[in-house]
Amino acid sequence: MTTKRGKKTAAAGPKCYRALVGLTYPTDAEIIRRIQGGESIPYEERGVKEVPAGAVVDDVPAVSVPWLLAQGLIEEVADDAQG
Amino acid sequence: MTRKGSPDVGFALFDGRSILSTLTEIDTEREVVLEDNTVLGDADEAWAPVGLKRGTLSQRGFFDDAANSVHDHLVAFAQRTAAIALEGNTIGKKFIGWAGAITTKYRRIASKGTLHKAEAEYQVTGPVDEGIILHAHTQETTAGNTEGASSVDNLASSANGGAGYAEASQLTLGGYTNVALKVRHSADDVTYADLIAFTAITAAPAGERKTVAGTVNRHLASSWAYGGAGSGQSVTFMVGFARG
Repeated sequence: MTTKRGKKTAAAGPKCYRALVGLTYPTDAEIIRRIQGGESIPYEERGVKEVPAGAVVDDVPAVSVPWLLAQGLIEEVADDAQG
Repeated sequence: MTRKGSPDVGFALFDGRSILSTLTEIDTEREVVLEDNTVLGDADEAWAPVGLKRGTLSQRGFFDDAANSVHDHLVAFAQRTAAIALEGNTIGKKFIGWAGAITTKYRRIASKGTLHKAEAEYQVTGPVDEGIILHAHTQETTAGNTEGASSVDNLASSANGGAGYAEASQLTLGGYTNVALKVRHSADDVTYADLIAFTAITAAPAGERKTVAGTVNRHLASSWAYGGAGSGQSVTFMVGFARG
């Protein structure tokens, strides 16, 4: 990407977060949309990703990020920290 | 209000010892401790709560000397966690949890022409919790989770922590090293986070009450997973949670 001053910068990717406790969440946007719509989807059909405490991820559902941050269950990390 | 009867009693677990099949009666009682607050000049008695609650627990039923059944449980005169479901062995139903139930009296009764009976009384020490079942007392043979359609939606979060109960009555590891049980919570039913991780269970019967402070989100679930590798594994357990 090029700024107005012509200086090249890295393209902004998704934010990375470190899980401070074990997390599980679906990664399919359509599944997340259906859950948010009030649909009760069995665990087996959610395509859930399991994240252990300490792992750095960039696919935490956006809807969950505010409350996970507020409760200290995840913390934001630099983009290059993902391992 | 829906009336309940003896067929609704779902489980009676004492540190994982499942004794429901021996019982004919359970008697639980909670009491608020009061002090006579009446002073000279009062025309009527006055009572005030002193801030203490206490509980009692007793049982009647049949004598059974099978391993980990009612005799083994009672003759040890031990302090155990306890979880009893009076309303059914179903996710979302209520259970009563005891942080500590100490067997103080054990009666074995033999009469001509009858089956032997076993009766017991407990002294309750510590909290008595009114909880919700997150995993019914049933067997699981693979790792799993009750998130989603089997989670419990309490409709609102709470701020005062709570107490989780895990009671495992049967465990076959089949080469695995342990089974780990958890209580999990979520604000949105999308992402779930660990709330309580119970001590990994390596043998049954086993029971544990574990507390947590702070926010408990509106959706609650349980998970279970075997550690290591093996085959032919199974665990029969309940997990529940009582909000503070």
